[in-house]
Amino acid sequence: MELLEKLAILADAAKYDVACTSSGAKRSNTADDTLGNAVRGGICHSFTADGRCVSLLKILLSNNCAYNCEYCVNRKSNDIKRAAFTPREAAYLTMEFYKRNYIEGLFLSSAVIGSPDNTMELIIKTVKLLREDLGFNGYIHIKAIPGTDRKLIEKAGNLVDRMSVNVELPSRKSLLLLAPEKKPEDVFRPMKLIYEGISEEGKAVKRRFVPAGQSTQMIIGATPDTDHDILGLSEKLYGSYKLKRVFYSAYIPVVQSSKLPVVIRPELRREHRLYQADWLLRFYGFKVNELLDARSRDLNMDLDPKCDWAIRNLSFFPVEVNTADYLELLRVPGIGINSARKIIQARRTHRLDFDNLKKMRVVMKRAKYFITCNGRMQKGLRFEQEYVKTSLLLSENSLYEQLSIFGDHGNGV
Amino acid sequence: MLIFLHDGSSEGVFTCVYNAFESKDKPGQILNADMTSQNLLDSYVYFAPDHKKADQLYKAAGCRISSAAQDLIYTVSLSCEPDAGGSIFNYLDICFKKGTGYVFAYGEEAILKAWQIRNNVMTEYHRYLGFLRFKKIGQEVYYAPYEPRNNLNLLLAEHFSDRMKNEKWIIHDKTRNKAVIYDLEKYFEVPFIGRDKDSILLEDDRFEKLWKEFLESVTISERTNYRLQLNNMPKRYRKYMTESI
Repeated sequence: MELLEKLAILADAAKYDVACTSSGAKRSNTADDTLGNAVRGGICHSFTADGRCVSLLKILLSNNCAYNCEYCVNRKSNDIKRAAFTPREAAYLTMEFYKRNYIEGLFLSSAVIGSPDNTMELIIKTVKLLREDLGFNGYIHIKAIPGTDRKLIEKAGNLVDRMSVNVELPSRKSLLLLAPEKKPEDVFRPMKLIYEGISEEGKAVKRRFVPAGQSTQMIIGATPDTDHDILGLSEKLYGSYKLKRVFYSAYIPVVQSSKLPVVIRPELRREHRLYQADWLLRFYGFKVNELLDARSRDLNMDLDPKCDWAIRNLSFFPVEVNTADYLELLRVPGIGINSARKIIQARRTHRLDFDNLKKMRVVMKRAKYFITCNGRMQKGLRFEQEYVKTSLLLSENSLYEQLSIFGDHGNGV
Repeated sequence: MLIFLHDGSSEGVFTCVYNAFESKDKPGQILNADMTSQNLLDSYVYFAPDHKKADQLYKAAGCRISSAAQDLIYTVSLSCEPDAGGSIFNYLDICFKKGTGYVFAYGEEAILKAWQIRNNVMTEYHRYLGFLRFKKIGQEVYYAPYEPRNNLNLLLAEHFSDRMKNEKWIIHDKTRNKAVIYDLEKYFEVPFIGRDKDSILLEDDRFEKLWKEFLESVTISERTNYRLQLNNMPKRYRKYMTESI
């Protein structure tokens, strides 16, 4: 088979894995005869017609799978064209793409080729070829195949920047229903191994075991799991396994099955809200139980989770911009990480007013309901729950048509 | 109004700013000579880049204010903003007088302005880190043409001289017609002298075809969203991108 045709098949088969980021590792190119470095924030090299960022050469080594997971396009019983790269082909493509500045590196996954161990060995062979024979020093993200032997995970971890295992579904019940060959233990065992590898290395001065950490992915909307279930699992993964990222992927029907729901349109808005909530967990000091509770198990689709929380917790506000601490500022809708930091820097020399905030690009159409400057709220606004809610809903909904906000996880370099 | 003119290089801009501090008559603006059509009402003085003066100004920003201020003025000097030099002067003037505490004093109009110019340059720079495309010409040289608004050649050269240390490459700013050349040891900037702007005939590279095929295949058609794509990758960046040609 021609390389072009293989690439078409194996990129297509990899496209539902959304974790295409190149962030988390910083490394310069110190040797004389090697190619590549890594930039902490990652770099987007292109954007496809779906608006998603392309940062890595995202391919499967093979789509010829031994498993038969219901939701997966590569399932054994599905009648599709099969292909496989040799490790040499995959490495060669990576090098040549990298030199033309098409990519930051390689994201290599695979269907299960015979057995998990065999698959992992082929992935390691590819990565070794890149790192040791071809002198590739750019970013590499690989999948740890569930059920792989401990030794192989350790071996792989020393060669790559990031390793991930896909949870796929947020509950044991859903997993048993749709992916009977993938036991929950098979997913969490490698995750634990990676975590232990990182912790062990953490004691060393220079960390080389998956320096960019691990990530995972969950499919949204294929099972009845609630946002509370999903985010609850994310929170645990960030806590106990120190994951760097959890990715969410709106379920798109790729195969017909009686066990799968009939989805007409992928739940892109829900996916977007989950990413927003995920950001609040990781960078804004929120807990899942603040965003959702026993009464509301799912996120509000009409308002972003921070606005939604703020309206339900008006007693926390108004926040005085000139005296509030960093974490308090972060709780204000319309004030993000950058604005909060800028406010703190700027008020060392100036007392800030509404005009200053606007010029500093604070999103005033949201923030104005929740803040005071020098003890005063902006004129003409009422500090009442219903009023604030209605005003925000009105301004947000007129924006729906203007902004194509969905799928901005694709920016997640 | 008194206007100081420079040649568009960082050294030229810094020389003008240095002279503005030295001179009794403060300039109202500090502009790029090539971009300025002189009128009858204003008076103009051109200053050729002076390495010593530029260096002195740059160092003063570092030791008398901070390294953040030093980075800021260098980045602003690369900006396409007409009066970037004036912004540097105003910024330094405040910080020299009022002290290090004013480096991030966004409540001050001139300070905020300088940071905004700096951020614009960095945004474009960061985008080109990803959107710049090299083509292999001949047996061993990689060539990347682009049309930036800001003067990004040296910033990009710094990045690629690490990343592509063991390859020869040329980055060609078509807006200013200047190129940085890397010869496996160091990089240097030169005026780009070609018979004709597009006279370099580029051979069809098989990897261009593979790259386009990859992008097609990795797209999820159920999620098509051209507006999001446009926001993330504005049209002006696409002119030399393999996938858009």
